[in-house]
Amino acid sequence: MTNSFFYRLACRPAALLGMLVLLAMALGAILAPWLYPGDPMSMVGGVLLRPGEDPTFPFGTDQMGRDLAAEVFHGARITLLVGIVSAFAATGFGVLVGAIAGFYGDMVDGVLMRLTELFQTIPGFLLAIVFIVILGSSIGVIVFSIAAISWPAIARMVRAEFLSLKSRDFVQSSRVIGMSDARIILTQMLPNCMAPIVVTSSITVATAILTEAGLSFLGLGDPNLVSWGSVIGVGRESLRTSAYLTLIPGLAILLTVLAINLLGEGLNDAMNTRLRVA
Amino acid sequence: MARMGCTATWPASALPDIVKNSRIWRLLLSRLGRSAVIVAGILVVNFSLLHLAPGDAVSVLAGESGGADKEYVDRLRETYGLGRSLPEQLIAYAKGLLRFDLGWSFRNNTSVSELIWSRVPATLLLVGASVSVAVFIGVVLGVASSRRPNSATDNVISVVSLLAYATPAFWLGLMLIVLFSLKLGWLPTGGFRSADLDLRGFAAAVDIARHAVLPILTLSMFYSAIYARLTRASMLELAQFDYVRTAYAKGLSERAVRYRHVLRNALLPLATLLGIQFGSLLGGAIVIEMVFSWPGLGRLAFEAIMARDMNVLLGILFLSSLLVVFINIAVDMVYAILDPRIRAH
Amino acid sequence: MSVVLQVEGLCTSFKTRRGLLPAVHNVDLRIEAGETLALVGESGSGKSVTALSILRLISPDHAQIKARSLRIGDEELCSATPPMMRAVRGKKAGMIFQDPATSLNPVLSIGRQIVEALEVHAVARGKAAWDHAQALLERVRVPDAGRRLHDFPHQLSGGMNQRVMIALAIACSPRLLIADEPTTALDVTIQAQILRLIRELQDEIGMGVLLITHDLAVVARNADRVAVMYAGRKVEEGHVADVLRTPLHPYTAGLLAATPDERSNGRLAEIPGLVPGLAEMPPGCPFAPRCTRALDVCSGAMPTISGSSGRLAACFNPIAPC
Repeated sequence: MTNSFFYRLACRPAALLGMLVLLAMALGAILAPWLYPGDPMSMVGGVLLRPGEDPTFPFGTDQMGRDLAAEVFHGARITLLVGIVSAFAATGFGVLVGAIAGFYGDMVDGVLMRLTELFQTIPGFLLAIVFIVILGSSIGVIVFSIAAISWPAIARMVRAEFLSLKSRDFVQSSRVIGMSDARIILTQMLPNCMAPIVVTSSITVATAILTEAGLSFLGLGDPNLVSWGSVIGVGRESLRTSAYLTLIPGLAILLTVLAINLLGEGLNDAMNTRLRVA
Repeated sequence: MARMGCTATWPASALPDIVKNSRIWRLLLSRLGRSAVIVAGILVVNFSLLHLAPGDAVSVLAGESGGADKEYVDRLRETYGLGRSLPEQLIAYAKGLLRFDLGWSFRNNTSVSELIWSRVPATLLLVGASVSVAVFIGVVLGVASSRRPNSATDNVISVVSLLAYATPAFWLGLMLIVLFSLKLGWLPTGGFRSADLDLRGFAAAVDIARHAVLPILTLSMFYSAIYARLTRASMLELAQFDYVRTAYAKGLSERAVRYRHVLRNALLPLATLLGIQFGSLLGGAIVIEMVFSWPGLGRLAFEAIMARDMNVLLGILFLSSLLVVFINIAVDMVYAILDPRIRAH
Repeated sequence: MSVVLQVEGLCTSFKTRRGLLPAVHNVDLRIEAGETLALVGESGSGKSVTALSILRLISPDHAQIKARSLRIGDEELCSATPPMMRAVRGKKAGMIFQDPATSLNPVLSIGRQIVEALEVHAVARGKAAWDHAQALLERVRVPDAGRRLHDFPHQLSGGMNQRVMIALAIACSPRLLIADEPTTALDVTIQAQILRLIRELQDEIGMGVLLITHDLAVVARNADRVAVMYAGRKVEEGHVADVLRTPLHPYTAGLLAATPDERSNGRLAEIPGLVPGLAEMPPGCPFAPRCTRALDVCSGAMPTISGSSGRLAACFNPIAPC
């Protein structure tokens, strides 16, 4: 029991801290419609109020009198949603490609790896921009674009795992007893790579959040929705006088990504039972 | 106490290897062959995106619809026209791209390729300097933190790395502007050089350098953190290897072992990572150039986004992809020189 | 005859989360020029740790090495500073390791690695060093030495790489050569060649050799004297012929019985039980739980090594009186 995964995770204060911060962010995101009902982009107060000037606006207001706190809380919803969904999609597709390439090898592997290499060669952020310019900046397209540039790294990792697992005895014996390929992949091999898949997914979520923030900052986000990146983009106009408009949402991104990284590292350590040399 | 001189350092002993063995040349040939496949893929992707774009392909190539003169559009239609079959269109398009005929920008009244080429130097300066800074800082910090794991130095560097890794680059750039330009007034807020001053020679170089400091710092910060952590991990892992013990048994000092044996091997995974991450670096340059009004490809891309200029965007996509291919080949060659075990398949 | 190695009361303990765990306890060794002392024991007996401790090749972060006396040649190294040890390693004492494939740096050429050994002790520099390196390769019988200088470890076979290791170790004509299981990772046919090479070099240079092995056949054919280790302690010592013919310690007898030879048919005799781990040392003699000759006193008190004229054993109930 003392050596179980959860115990090891609990022993790392950094990972726990990360988890707490994430829970706080998620909570804020979920409660946003209750804490700040209505459209966060509606003008509700005086223009460019500094944080603390007016107690109703703890984070202050922007150039159009929008409540920064409302924007931050509602922005959390989009940021976390996009991050998680696109990472999920990227992981799903990446695992599929990687598993098939690793399992079947030869020509199938060759073709799939060339495809993966292609998507890793074309600069991802730029490709995402092009997708959005072509297909429009709805949130669905944004999620698709981010997923489309994040899957190659996962595919590579899963393929490497499968290549090394393929020659292991338990896989060979599954083939001998006549298990179908799909069953071997799903029930025998995939469960053995869960650890690296989970860890890589957490990194993918963090990268997705940073990418989404960058895209929204450039003005490519969904115009009807508030995201932390777009808030920074708007706040940039008044950088000289009201730096808080940029500072606060940026800190939110920083904390969220930091928390995910800490949690990811904690998961990595907890899942790897490596013998330590005294 | 004899000085520990190293007369035949590793480049010198590697030189006979490069010249004598055909290993490097065979590897280069095989890499070029593989890259040709990738370039073909890039062409197909560009072509598909062109056809996915709103409006018809020819009007995209001609620059925003309505801005082109009829004769030019008719000529384009002939060369790339929809009258022909899709494979023929693809080949025509590919030939055009490989001639670097990327279309015309009426907005700027110049060919797209000329427009792009004019912006490449600024981006190369930014990206090249950022990579160099990131590698330097990363290796120095990584080696420093691996010397005494879990010491105060190590922990401080780890925390700083973690923060640098989690910080959105564009936000960091803005915050640095607030601090160094707006509050302290030490550095300019953006641009390539001071337009109002007419500077020559050394003074001009210094002026450009002052403008480049913040963009380079911002772009390199994220990657410094990654390289620092990779270097640290590699140094610690490689220090366990048997040949390190042999080196000590020969009487080498800790410093000699660390740099001549361990770091030498630790540079290999770093080189690989550099190649893999170059595309991401170019993407990051887009936002940085926008934040700092740096007149490079990234800023051009931003302008193209604002104007929905697909022509220019696709041209930048094509060129930057080619750049990544080129850098990857270069990295593979450097890796093969550093690691004598690599052979062409 | 000059004494090449003199170790008295060597104690090496590993720093673990559970405190200091002794891996080598109170070991004495003595080797003269031209002599080969074999250090024999199973895995976990502490023989490799002993060898590494002599040259302090274990980091002080991981282990504490203490001795009453540790002399290589006429230099007392008990409380040597790191620079003193660096001057000794590779110059007064050379060491070769078990796995030649991983013991050489894969990205540096063979020549580069030999030249390094010469330059660090200022034996030669530049072109002279490379010539010297080639001469060393020829001395260890590496064919086509001139070309091999520019080759990399992965291009050579295991046997060749071990010869390179030997060249590295003897580059500065050391007084002591420590060979830690030099042939365990090699083919049987190569083993004999390597051991013969070591003997020849020993005669040429006049070195003392500390040969660490678990293989009693190797001991029989290559060593002058042998010391047997169990659980970090020396339990028997003597001339090879004496020890192998009439062992004093029950453990030595057990090892001999377990060695396959032409006469053994069917099962090999095993010593029942396992070597105790560092943290699970029983009080008293560490071999007592597995010993067929154990007396009551054996599990309570620690036998000290005793004997005369170099024939020693640490046992309350030896097979023959020492």
